[in-house]
Formats: sequence, C-alpha cells, structure tokens
Amino acid sequence: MAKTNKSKSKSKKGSVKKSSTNKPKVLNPFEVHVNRQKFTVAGRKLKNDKGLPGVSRAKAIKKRKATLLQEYRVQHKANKFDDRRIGENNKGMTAEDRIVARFTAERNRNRKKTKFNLADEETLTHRGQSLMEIEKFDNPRSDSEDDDEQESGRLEAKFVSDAHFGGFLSRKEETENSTQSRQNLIQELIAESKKRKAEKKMQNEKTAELTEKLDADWKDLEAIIYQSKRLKHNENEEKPQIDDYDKTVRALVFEAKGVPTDRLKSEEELAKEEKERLENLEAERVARMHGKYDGLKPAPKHRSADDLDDGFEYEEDDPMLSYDADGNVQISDSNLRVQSIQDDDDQEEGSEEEESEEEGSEEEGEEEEEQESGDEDGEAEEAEDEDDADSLSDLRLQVSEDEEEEKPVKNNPKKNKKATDTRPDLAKLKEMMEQARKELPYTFTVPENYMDFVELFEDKALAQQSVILERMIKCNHPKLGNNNTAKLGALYAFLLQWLNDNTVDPPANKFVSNPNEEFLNTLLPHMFEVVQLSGAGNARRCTVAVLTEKYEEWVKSGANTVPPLDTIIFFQLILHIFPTSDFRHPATSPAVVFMAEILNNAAIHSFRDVCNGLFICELLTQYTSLSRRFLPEAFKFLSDVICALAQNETSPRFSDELKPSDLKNENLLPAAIEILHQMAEQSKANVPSLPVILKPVVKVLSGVSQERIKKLGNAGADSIEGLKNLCLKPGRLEVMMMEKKRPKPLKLYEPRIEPVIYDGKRRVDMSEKKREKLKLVHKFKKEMKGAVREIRRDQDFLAKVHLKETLKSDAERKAKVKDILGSLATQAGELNKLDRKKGKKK
Amino acid sequence: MISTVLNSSTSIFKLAEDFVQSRKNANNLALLVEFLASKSNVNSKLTNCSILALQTIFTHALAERNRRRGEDCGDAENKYQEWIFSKYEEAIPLLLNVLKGTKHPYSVREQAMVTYVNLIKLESLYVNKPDSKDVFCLPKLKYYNLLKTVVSSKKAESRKSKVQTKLLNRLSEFTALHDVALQTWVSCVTLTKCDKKVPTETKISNILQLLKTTAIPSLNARDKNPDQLIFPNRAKKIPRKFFSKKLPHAIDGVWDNIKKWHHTESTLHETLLLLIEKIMDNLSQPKMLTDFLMTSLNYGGALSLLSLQGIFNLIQKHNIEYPDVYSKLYSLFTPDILRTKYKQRLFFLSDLFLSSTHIPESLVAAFAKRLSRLALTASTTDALIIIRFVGNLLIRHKSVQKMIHNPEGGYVDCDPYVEDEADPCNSKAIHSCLWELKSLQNHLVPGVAIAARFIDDKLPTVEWDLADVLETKYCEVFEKEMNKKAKEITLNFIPPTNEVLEKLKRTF
Repeated sequence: MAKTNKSKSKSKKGSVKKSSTNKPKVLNPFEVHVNRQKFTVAGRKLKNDKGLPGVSRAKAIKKRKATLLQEYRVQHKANKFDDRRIGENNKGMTAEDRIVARFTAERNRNRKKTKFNLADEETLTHRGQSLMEIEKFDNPRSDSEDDDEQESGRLEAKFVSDAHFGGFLSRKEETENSTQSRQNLIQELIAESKKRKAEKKMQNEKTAELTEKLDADWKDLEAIIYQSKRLKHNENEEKPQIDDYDKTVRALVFEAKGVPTDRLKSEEELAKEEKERLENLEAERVARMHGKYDGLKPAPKHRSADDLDDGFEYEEDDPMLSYDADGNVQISDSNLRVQSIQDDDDQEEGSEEEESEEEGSEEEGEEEEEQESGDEDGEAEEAEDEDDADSLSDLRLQVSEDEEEEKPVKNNPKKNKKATDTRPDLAKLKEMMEQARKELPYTFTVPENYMDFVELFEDKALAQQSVILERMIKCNHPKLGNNNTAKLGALYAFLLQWLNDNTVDPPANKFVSNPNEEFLNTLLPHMFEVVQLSGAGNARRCTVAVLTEKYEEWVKSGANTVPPLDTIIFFQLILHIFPTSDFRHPATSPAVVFMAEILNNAAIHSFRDVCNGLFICELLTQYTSLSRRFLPEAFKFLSDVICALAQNETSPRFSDELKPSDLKNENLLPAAIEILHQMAEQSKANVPSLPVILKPVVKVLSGVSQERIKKLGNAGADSIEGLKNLCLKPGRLEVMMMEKKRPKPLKLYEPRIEPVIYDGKRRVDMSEKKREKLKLVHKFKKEMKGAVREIRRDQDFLAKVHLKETLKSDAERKAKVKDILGSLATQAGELNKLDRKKGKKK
Repeated sequence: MISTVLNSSTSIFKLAEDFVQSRKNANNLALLVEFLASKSNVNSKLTNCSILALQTIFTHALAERNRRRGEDCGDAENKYQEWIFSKYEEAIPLLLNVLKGTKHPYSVREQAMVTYVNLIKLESLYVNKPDSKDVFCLPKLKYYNLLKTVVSSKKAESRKSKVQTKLLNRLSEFTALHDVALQTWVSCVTLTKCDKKVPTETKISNILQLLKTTAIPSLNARDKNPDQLIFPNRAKKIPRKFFSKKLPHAIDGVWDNIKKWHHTESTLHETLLLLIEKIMDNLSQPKMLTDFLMTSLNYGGALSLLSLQGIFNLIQKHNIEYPDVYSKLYSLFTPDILRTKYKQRLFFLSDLFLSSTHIPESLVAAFAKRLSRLALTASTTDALIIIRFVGNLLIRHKSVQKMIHNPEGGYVDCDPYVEDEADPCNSKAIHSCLWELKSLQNHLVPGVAIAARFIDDKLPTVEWDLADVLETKYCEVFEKEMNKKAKEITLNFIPPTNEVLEKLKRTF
C-alpha cells in the first residue's frame, strides 16, 4: 500500500508545487523544528537539520485521505461508479476546458478512420456553402451584392420608423393621409418592395451578361494584340550565329578532363617489380614452409560492406554460384571486340611486332594481365624473343622447347638426352597446334555441364584440346564479366573429371614411360591458369572433393593395394597447382597423408604395383624438394623394394602370389635406388638420424656384387655410392640443447596513484562488487524501515478514522435517543395534562 | 518304405500333430525315429522337419509324463511311458549323428544341436531330476557327449571350420548361462584329458574357442541374477561349495590338461589369450604358471607380448619377481611388432611397466631411444603414439630429460647408443640424445611434426593421455587434414612449364 501511496503522491506533489511556486512560501517560525546536532562538522551539509512537522504531517494526512481513505470507503464494495468522462475528475479544468477536450477527442477519434485518406478530410465551408462548390468559380456573387440584396429585401428605414414607431413628429401627416387605410398602406409597401427586388435582379443579370460578352470579345482580340507585338520584336533583333570556335570552346569546357596517368614503366623497372614480387612470394612461401606464416602478412584490415572481395580469397563453406539474369552465358560487346582483335592477332603472328603498338587499349590491358598471371620464370627469355612477350600462354610449348635448346647443359646427361629425344615430338606438336589454330573456331563458351564438355572435347587431338582451352580461358577471362570467375571454376571441375576419365593405365608388365604424360602436360598449364583466374577457394574445394572420393574408393577396396594411375595422377596435379612446401596446406596435406597410407599399407601383388609405388615415391621427392622434410613410409617402402630386388629377401609386403620372376626388370632396381638417394640427399640437412634410417638398405646394398652394380648403370652405381656415403660417413652430431630462453624480466608495476578526496565521506577500500552489494543492503534496510513506518502510520490513520466514525455514530444515536425520549416526555406530559384537566372537571 | 510315407514336410508335421492329438497315433514316434536313423535319408530339408517334429512330440510326451507322475496309474500306462522314454534314448544319439555328420548343411546341424539341448533340458526338468549330492543342471553324460561332438571335427577344412565356429557361437548362448557354464567347465576336465592320443590342432582350437566363450560362473549370479541360469528356480539348490571349491578345481584340471598339449604357434596364441582373459584369475595357484609363461615368452612377437601380460599380472597380483622382464620388453620393440594387432596392448603394458619410479634412468633412456628409432621407420599413426610415449617417459623421469637438453652442449662424432645391445642398461642411451625426435620434426605429415616439437619447449608437468592416440587410424589423420580450416588458401605461383614437368620424366 505504501508503494501505491508513493506513486500517487508524486503526481499530487507536482500539482502542489505548481501552486506553491505561484505564491512565495512564508515560513512560520513556530512551525519549524530544528534538529539539534551534537557536533558541528565544518563543510558537512545536512538534509535534515530542520523540518516542518506540522506541514509534513498535514501533507501526509491529506495524501492518506486521497488514497487510503478512498480505499477504505470502497473496502467491501463489489462495484463502483467510475466516471470516465474526459476531465471530469480533473479539478484543474474548467467546464469549457472539458468541452474543448472532449471535442478534440471526438475529432481525433473520427480522424483515426481516415488517417491516411488525405483527400476528403472534412468539407470546409464558407457561410454554410462548401468551399468545393465555390471553387467552381461559376460567377460568384460578391459580398457587397449580397449585402445589397439583403438590404433590398428589407423595408426602408424611414418607412420602418414611420410605420412601426408611430413617428411622433409626422403625426400631422398621418392625420392628413388618414383617408388611406392602414391596410392599403401595407399592401403598397409590399408591392414596392417586390418591385425593387425584381429591378435589382434584372440589373444583376444584365451586368453578368455584359461581363460575359466583354470576356468573349477580349479573347478574340487577345490573339491579334499579341501577334502584332511578337512581329515587332522579331523585326528588331536577329539571333547571332553560333561560332564554330565558341562551339568548340563550349564542348571543351564540358568534356571530361583527362586524369594524369602513371608514367610508362621502363623495362628495368618492370623487371625489378617482377623480381620484387617474386621475392615477396618466395619469402611468404618460406615462412609458410616453417609453419609460421601468420606474423608476416598484415592481417586483413577492416572490410567494409561494399568490399568487392577482390583482395583475398577467403575460404567459404558453401560455394555460391552466380548466374546471369537469364542464366545463360552472355558475352558483352566489348568482350566480342577484344576477341576479334585477338583473333586477328592470332592469324597474323608474323607481323605482330609492328602491330602491337596499334592495337587497342583493351588488348594492352589484356597483355599486362597476362604477364602478371602468366609466366613468371621466363625472366631472361622475355627479353630475348619478343614474339612470346604478348601471350606466353599461347606458346607455352614452343617456349619450353626454345629453352631446352638455349639452356646451358647443367642437368645430368640422362635428362638432356631425354629432352633431345622428345624434341621431334614437340616440333610435331607445334605444327599440329598451328593447324588446330586454323581449324577451330575462335570463341568458346564454357560448357554448362560435363556432358557438353565431353561433347566438345571428345575425339579432339591433344593439340586441339589445348587450343580450345586456351581460347576458352581467353574468352571467359574474369576481367571481362563478373560471372566468368564462376564459369572458370566450373571449367576446373570439368577438367578434373576429364583428367580422371582419360587417364589410362600402362601395360601391366612393361617398364614404360607414363602414358598420360603428354595428356597431363597439355592440360596442366591450362589448369594452372584456370586456377589462378578462378580463385584458390574453388580449386581447393574441387581438388579436395576428388581426393576424398578417391580415398573412399580406395578404402572401400580394402585399403591395402597400390591404387591405379587415375588416383596417382591427382597427386601429380596437386603438386603443380598447390604449393607443396607449406607446412600445412588444406589440399596438399591430405594428399600427403593419403600417399603415406598407401605406401604403408599397400601389399604388392604385381609388377605394376611396384612401379606405381615408385611413382608415388618420385612424386613425394618433388613434394619435399623445397621443404626438405621426409616421410618415413616412403623410406620404408623404398628400402623394402630395394631389399626384395637386390637380395630376394621376402618381406611381408610382397604377397605370396608374386613370383620373383615378375620383378626381374633391369630398370626397377636402379630407379628405386635413385629415388631413395634423391630423397636422402634432400632431407640430409634436416634429418640428423638419416644414417640410422638408411642403415638396413645400405647393408643390403653392400652385399650386392660388383657385377650386379655394373649392370645397374652409372646412375644407379653413383646413387649407391651416395647412399653409402650418407650412411657411413655421417657428419658430426650436435648435442641437443634447448634454445636458451631469454630470462623473463621481473614484472614491474607502475605505482598506483589515486586522488585523495577529503569530502567527509567514508571510502572503504573494497571491491566494486562488494560495494555494490553493501549499497543494495543499505538501501533495502532503509526501504524496509520506511515501509514499516508507513504501514504503522496508515494503521494509525485508519484507527483515527474508525474512532471518528464510531464517535459520530454514537453521537447520532445519543441525539436520536434524546429526541425520542424528549418527544415521549412531551407526549407523557400532555397526557398528564389532559388527565389533570379531566380530573378537575370531574 | 518309410521314405515313401514321409516324402514332404507337411506329412512329417502331420505325424507330429496326430501324435499330440491322440495316443492312437503313438506309432508315429517310432516311424519318425526310424526315419531319422535310416542311412538312406539325405534330404536335409526333411531331416530338419523330422528333428522339429521329434522336438514337438517329446516336449508333449515328457510334459505329460511329468503330469501323471503323482497319479497311480496302471501297468499299461507305465509300460507306455517306458516305451516313450526308450524311444527318447534312441533318438538322442541320432541327433548327435546329424550334428556330427558333414552331409547336412549348417542350418540343419544347428537345429539338431538346439533340439538336443532343449530335449536334455526337458529331461533334466521332468525325468531325471538331479539329486542333492551331485547337482548338475543337465544330464551329465549327454551334455558331455554334446560337447565332445561339437568340439571334434575331422578335417581342418576352411569352410567346415567356419561352420564349427558358427556352431560354437550358437552353443555359447547356452554356455553363457552360469549353471551351464559350471557344468561345461567340469565336463571339460574330461574333455581336455588326453590319455595317449594327441589331440589334433583343430580340436585344440575348438576346445579353446569353446572355453573362451564359456562364462566364468559366479556365486553372485546364483544369488542375485537367477535369470542368468538355465533353471532359474533351481538357483538355491546349487551348493555354494560348487563355486568356491569345485569350480577352481575344474579350472585347475582343465589348465593342467591344456598345459600338457603339444601346442603349435597359433594354438599357443589362443591358449595365452584364454589364460590371460579367463583362467589366470581363477586358478588356485597362479604362480605355477610362471614356467609356462617363461617358455612362451621366448617365442618372440605377439606370443611374447601376451605372455608378458601374464607375467605382468603375476608380478602385480602375486608378487612374483622376474628379473629379466625389462630386457624382454625391450627386445619386443621391433618394427615387426608394430604391424601386429597387439600394438595397443604393447604400448599400454609398457606404459604400465615403465610407470614405476624405481627403475634406473639408463633403462628409461634406452627405451626412449629404442622407441624413437622405431618411429623413424614407423607409420604416421605409430609415430604419433611413440612421440607421446617418449614424451611421457621424459616427463616421468626428470633425469632422462638430458637426452633432449644436455646443458654441456658440444658435438659428438657418432651416436653413443649401442643398438644391438640386449641389456637396455648397457646400451649407453643415457649418453645419447634424441636426434630421432629432432628428425621427426621434419616429418611430412604436419600432425607428427607438430607433436615432435614438444622437445623444443619446457615439458608439461602432466603426462599426455596415451589413450587419445592409441586408436588413431590413417583415415582419421586424413579426415583431420581435410577439415583443417585454413585462413587463406595459397596457390603455386610457379607455372608448370616443361622445365618443371621435365623433372618427373622418369619412366615407370
């Protein structure tokens, strides 16, 4: 109850204050009660040093009367009358205020219905006539006319004064005209007023008619007047002819201003930039290799909502494919133009040098880009043969051929020999490509689905496929349209599938070069380019999906075989598409684990298994060529193979079905030894325990007879020698010691300086939480006390009211009793009186 | 003649039905028994039906006999019952014949076995109620015969042994019940006894398999879980001393017999498994096992491992001292043992063995060194386990930490560790360093490389939980690498030109 009292009192207080502000408060000194203080403290302000007990008590009583008493009165009543007319309970409002308030409320209520109907809000009137009608402007009558008419309808003042008020002074006349009866007079009067009215009406009509006529005449006349005026004007002035010069000046003023462009970079600068870029990339790669990449690259800054996302490739969980409005492949005009230019360019390759400067700006942009995204390693060659400068990707095969010719011989002789072996092939391929270029159409769209893709690529020679891909990538370059990135992403997926479908296994028992090599070598450069253009996220998704599929397939088949080439070829693909030197990479790491499992689990059933296993090992040496890490499974596999081949030792890895004769191949053992040697050489620096790993193999190899070694060829013999060296002549081992950590400096705290305020308040050092809690406890106590006090006072008040009522009813009763007794006494007295009278009479 | 009457499954079932309906058709029983006994019958479907029919008939007849037991019935009735029981005794060996023979497929043989068990169960329930002296739940001889039949198989043919396994599995449904298990153990004492004839390898493995599936009956089950008995209401009748005296006696007897067999490697393997899992804890004198375990310890490989577990149990529970156990354990760690399926057991056991704080540091160092050497050629998953294991060793034994942090520093010309030393304490491993772990930091699989990085930092105070990695498989590592979220996916920036491709031009 106390609570409701308080809330109600607040509103009351407001009104009280209002009234009190009007009159200055006069303090009655007798009403003031001063609380005595024991000690006076300087600077302390007290709230309750004096009070007005009388006033506050009166206030409290008044409040209770308004609230508690009302409640007390309706205490046992089930219903009550609630007057909800507006302002009825508000004593501050006058009757007029209330009416206004109610009217407003009603208006508002009506308006609510047509809140948004702005047109017919309400009809505005003027003199009872709606303004809408007046606004038709059909000859409105002026006010004065109306006035006249009104006036005319009335009697003349003179007549009125005469007829109605007798006309004291003109009584004489009346007597003279007494012959005319009063009735006649009135009739005459009426007739006259009617006549006047009619006259007035006639006149008005006439005026209106004339005005209309005048208006009509004016309209006829108007045309003539204006025409003459215009004629005059024309004769006087003749417009000056606009000068060509002015025209040009104006055109120039409004023409878009040219923006200063960057200076064209010289060749050295370009080379330097390229070098810097490559150095940066290399530094990043090395950092990633050591697995501490995070610090080097600045973290991506704030990305605004408008960010086009063209800076970084973020990994997304759900790839979003975007399509055109119609969902078709559309090539814009500019796109087509570029293509046509390119096509010309393709046809006239011989005279390219001269033309290159004349070519459109678009082509130049294209070129720059190509240089950026395309070949990065051809530093020297670019200067040498300008033919290749514009589109290295076109001539990838040619370039490499040239390289082979010009490069100083630094590889081992075997490889060089191979290169010369393949030369005729390359020349032939080049020829074929030339032919294919001429035969094929110039533009290609990316197929919508894989079926279309297969249709396009089926029965085409490799050279043709290469050309198609090259043109397809050019036509769908991401810079040409926003949808092309997605298209190229799809193209990558198709290519993966194409690669999967067209991989062939080599014959089971022969030692041949990879039959897919040419196929892969044709596709790879294009796939690389597609990946560079379509983004790493897509490439990773597709590749990993393929890898997972292959892995599941392999696990389903028992997880103990060497998979066929159509699986291994994807390891090779990953090797070229993704950086294998990263410490951890979302695409290469799973591939590595897969390969490790193959090498660990695979049982060897056939000659082909050994070959494929060796191929995986070879791939692994490429994987680790930069990072120089090692995979124990590969070492184990190789040493198993070597032991089996060199000593005919049986290992659990080789199945019983395999006959020793199956593995008798001249080339197998040297290949395995070479790979092992290569692998060991790579990890020499990083793996101090390499001799331990190699020990069993070297032991076996030492047992091989000299004749056998001679049979292995030079490379094999060299590798054996190298392995022996690695194993038997290890370098010194560094005793392991943890890196000395810099001693941790003692933690030094700054002194905590706090302002000291002497404001008389207690400042206990406690935590914020505790202080808050104490505050709440204190507040609760205070409120509790206040509430109890209020309740007690309420009780007091009610008791008083109760007492008053009792006293009042008692007094009433007393008075009534007294009344009745009185009347009874009178009655009795009168009766006695009568009796006495009777008695006297008697 | 019989086969002309009984030529379809319906006619066989009809015979059984008629028998149940009226005594007039009592001769049907004779007909069926005769049919089952006839050599000419090779139709397995009809055999199956006749087995089922016999089961129906005997279930009915034996129950009826039980009902009439209290009544005073005439001579004729007694004679009838006698006749029926004689037929029963005749039919039982026929069922065993079906079970034993190889001419019927597995399903029929299984049915014969199930019917056999059901019938002897009924017999025990209604006819030959066990007396209080020698309480066995099932008729002794008949149950023994069943076991003998199941266990003995003539040839170790691969397909047949599979059937045998299936039969044994089916039988294990009964032997898992505690009172049947008790009887099985007792019966097996006779079953395993070899007087003069040496049991074949197949038989040995069958018996071992039977014992492996047989539960160790517990007194607890008798008192608290009567539903784990074949005759729940006889639970209280089985005397307590059966569990306290007769069972250990039976197990002792079984073990004594098994011990004497001539074991091959595979049977020894199974024997050790049985010994560790079942017999060892219930023998009256487990210390007697020491000799057997010692012998098998010298076999090497998984056998050594299993016997080592037995020895560990002996050491732990029976205070046996075995001086050479650490060097034996040390010699177990070879590349081959990582390929066996007992790899987890090995690591778990050696973790227990090496958890003692009272072993010399040279020993711990030798183990750490040997294991690290193993990791150099081990698979990725094994490498993960070994790295954790060695880490735990280093955490546990502070003094061995000098293998990863030798404050003296400097260089050595070669590793002082002697690999071929049999005694781990003399291997000088403590003077060596764990360069193997340093090498593993360059493992191509990132998970392993990261795990091996622990040597670069201060070691944690709490050991790693080995159980996390013990069960790791390649596919999990693969999955983990697949699902690793990368902040940024990097691409190769060197295009695959012919020069690059040329590197891979080795012919295969």
